[in-house]
Amino acid sequence: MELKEYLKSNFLVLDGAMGTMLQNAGMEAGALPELYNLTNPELITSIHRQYVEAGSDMVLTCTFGANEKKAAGCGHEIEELITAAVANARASGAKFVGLDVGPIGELLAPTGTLDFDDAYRMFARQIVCGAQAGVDAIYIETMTDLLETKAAVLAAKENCDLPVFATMSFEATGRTFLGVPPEAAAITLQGLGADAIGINCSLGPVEILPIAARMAEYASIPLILKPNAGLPVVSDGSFHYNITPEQFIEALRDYLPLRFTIFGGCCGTSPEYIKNIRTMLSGAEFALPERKRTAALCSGTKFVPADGVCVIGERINPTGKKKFKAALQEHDIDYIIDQGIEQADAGAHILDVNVGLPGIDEREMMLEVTQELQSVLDLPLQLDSNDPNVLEASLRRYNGVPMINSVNGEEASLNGILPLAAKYGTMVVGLTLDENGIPDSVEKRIAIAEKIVTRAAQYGIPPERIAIDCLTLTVSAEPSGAMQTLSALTEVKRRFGVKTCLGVSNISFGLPQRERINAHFLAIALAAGLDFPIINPNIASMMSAVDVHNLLHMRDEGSVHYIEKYAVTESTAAAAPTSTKEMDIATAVRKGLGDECATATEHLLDSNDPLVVVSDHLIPALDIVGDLFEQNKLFLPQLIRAAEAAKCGFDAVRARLAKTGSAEPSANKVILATVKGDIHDIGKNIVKVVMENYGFSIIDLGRDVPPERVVQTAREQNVRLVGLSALMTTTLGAMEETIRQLRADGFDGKVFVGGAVLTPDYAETIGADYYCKDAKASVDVAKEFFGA
Amino acid sequence: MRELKLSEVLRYMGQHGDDPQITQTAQRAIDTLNRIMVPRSCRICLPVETLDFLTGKDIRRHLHGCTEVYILCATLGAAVDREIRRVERRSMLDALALDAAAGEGIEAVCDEAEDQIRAAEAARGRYVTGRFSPGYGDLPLTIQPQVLALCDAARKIGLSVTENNILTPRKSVTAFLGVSDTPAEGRKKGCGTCTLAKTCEFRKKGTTCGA
Repeated sequence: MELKEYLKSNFLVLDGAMGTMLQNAGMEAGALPELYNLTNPELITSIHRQYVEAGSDMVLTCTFGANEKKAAGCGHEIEELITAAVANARASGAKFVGLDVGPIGELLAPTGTLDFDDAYRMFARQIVCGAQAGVDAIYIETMTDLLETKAAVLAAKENCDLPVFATMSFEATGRTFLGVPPEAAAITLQGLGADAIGINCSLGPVEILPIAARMAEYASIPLILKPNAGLPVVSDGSFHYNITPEQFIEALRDYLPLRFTIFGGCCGTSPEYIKNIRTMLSGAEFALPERKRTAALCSGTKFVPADGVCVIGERINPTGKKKFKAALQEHDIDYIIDQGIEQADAGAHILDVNVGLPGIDEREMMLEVTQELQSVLDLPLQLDSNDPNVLEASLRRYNGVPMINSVNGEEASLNGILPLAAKYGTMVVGLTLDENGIPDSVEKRIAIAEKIVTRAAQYGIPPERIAIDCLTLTVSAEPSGAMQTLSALTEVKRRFGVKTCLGVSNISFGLPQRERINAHFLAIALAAGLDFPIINPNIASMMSAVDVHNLLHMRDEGSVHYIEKYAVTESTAAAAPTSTKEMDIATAVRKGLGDECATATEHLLDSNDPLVVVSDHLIPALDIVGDLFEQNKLFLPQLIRAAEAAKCGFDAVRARLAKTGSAEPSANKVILATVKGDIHDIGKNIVKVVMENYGFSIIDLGRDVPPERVVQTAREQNVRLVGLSALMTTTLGAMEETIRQLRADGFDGKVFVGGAVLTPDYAETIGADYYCKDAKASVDVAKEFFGA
Repeated sequence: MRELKLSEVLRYMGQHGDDPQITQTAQRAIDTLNRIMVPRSCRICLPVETLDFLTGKDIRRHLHGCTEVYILCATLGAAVDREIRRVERRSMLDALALDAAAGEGIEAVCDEAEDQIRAAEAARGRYVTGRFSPGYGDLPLTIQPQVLALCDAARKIGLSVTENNILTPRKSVTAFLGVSDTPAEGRKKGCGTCTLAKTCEFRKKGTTCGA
């Protein structure tokens, strides 16, 4: 019987530990077990055979570390290892053989530096080889990073037709080492089309049980359990696990009510454990997980079920926002990310990301912004574009389950978007419009919703993964529109079992005091059944409408959230009117008082030219602090604090210039980058903050920056001063190479370098023009270079 | 694990002298770190002669007279990296403080593990050197992959190394501690074996970083 069919009506017994058995046979710590496939194939086959004789249906090949990174330098290509491993497993006579695929061993960006596409390519190489060698399944296990697991599952799905098993390892905290909760693992992996998911390693069956229950709550496909033989214990210098095969089986029985159907053992288990599993299952009642109707999103570290109101922050969108448009045009990613952080702080549950603007590469921008947002925030994202080409690159690298915004009733949209939502297992917003625009009647909108739901079902997308947007019309233009939208909303939800989504603020367009209308409309829309309001969470009245809704609908137990949030507001509101004493800029900067610096700057701006305020007040204030820093009278934290306070003054100047319509003076551009391979960038970021406040325009290329990117940026943006940072001896080579490539490209500017392991001599050796020991020194170099 | 020391965090930040606002920032960073870090460590003890990758005169001097070596791996977990990245976007001062707190945090994790090793070996009448890490003196960082493999650190505590031999998550440490039957000679701590000794800002100011 084919494995996929077999899983539908049979328990599947896996094998037990390979590593433990090899260690018992004399393998030393740190050795590469995969080599035994070539050097001692009889041993490997005999271990597999012991498991088969004990009752294993499927054995896993000894290929856990057979990837380019872990097996590097072993003297054999991974194809040799895998082909031999499959043959060794087959020789055991097992009913099924699974290709064991473990983590690559290096962490993906942003925690590490491994690129997603490289990880995918390495997994694909293993999987193609395993499939050719004739395995029955791809078995991905011991994963701790959801994004890496996604790369492996995609590599399996896209390179063979075999069933894909995927399990992750959790700690007693209920998360993996990288912080993945079991619910996020469940919805992401089954969304990607895994055939079975589950948990292995790290803990024993007793400790895993509560984590398994959380995973089971969201799993609609077969569940796998492959625990260790309890927890490791060291006694008398030797190392063993703390539960016996009998205790192991007692603990495993508790997984049957959770409907786990695939069992095996990980570290510390032996054929005896497997034999007991077989015995236990022989009388057990077989039951697969029921299909769950889950509406949920997640990131790699946060699970957000849509079982209440989920606020989607709308601010990452250029529509009607001059500053945001400028940020897109100038590639000011920092500004865009700040919009995300601000909304997260304001209480958004999900962030919409729309970066479409004529003249920019939307696909690249979407990819960069979603990845940056995911590196600093744990909120799930809504990828907002109707262009499948823009969406796919970001969907692929998204860590978790996102929402697509949006599909609509047009054929092109249905055919372009729904396959993506299906393949990547996302939620999707469905707009009730089509080739003929937005229908005016409630019934016609419901008909479009039905069409979307029906077509989605053909792709295997169930209604609970669709959020129908019945579209808010402007009430001043369409007086009956508001109530029609809400009627349609309530009806589509009732009829199709979908979720609902609505951009709220459009209701008040063209009317005064829009906030009043928006907040009220939001309140009645929530009462009508709105699940995903797309709003500006920074506006207090909007968030309070949500909070009150939750309070009134028994979604705020004990009114805890409401009281916490609003009781605090009252007390601080009462304490607020303490007038700050007037302070001059120099004192405010030195003491690091941002508000005072802004106030003092504004006062000066009333009677002075903005540029004079900068040159005669703000810069001298920073100079005083800089001098004190050099004299060891002030220290690094105080220097940074002063820079941050001065920033409030500069912001006031910028605001004044914008108000009066004057252009900001063009600033001297400086590139900053932490070199390829290095991910320690706090030093570079400190330099950036301090230099920005001296009026330099910093092009921050980030960390782990390839030399080519520095060269290209310098050339394209005509930048003549480049600052490079490296913190490790192992990455100084990349610094030298970057400088070499700059010179080779004809760069005629200067390079300054810094970082803990650098010395002035070494800086000179690698061809740098300046060595800067700290942020202040960098400013001095830039001043000298630009002749300020 | 011991409590994190405010004075150490301030020192890592480069702060000297009393500044109440900076002190508050440092304290806040310690509170944040205590909330988000997931400290873990693992170790293995091996005969010194099996560790043929321990080349260089400094580690040999450190382990002089030792028969066994503990390899210690420790980390604060990936959440700390993420939080530092987020805070950097809001305030570099807070980010500096959190980075410093994490430096003190990983020291505390190592101290705890070292105390346990010391206690266990003392019970057997043996002595333990201080910690010596790849990158100290002439012991290269390129041995990190072997160090992690020996400890099975990826599986046990989620610790990996990049292709440039940087530990990830970033707030992590690997170290060697020698065990001998006679009082240990290996330097406990100090600048003698530090590659930064020549450029160190602490030394210029007449103090040490304490490592």
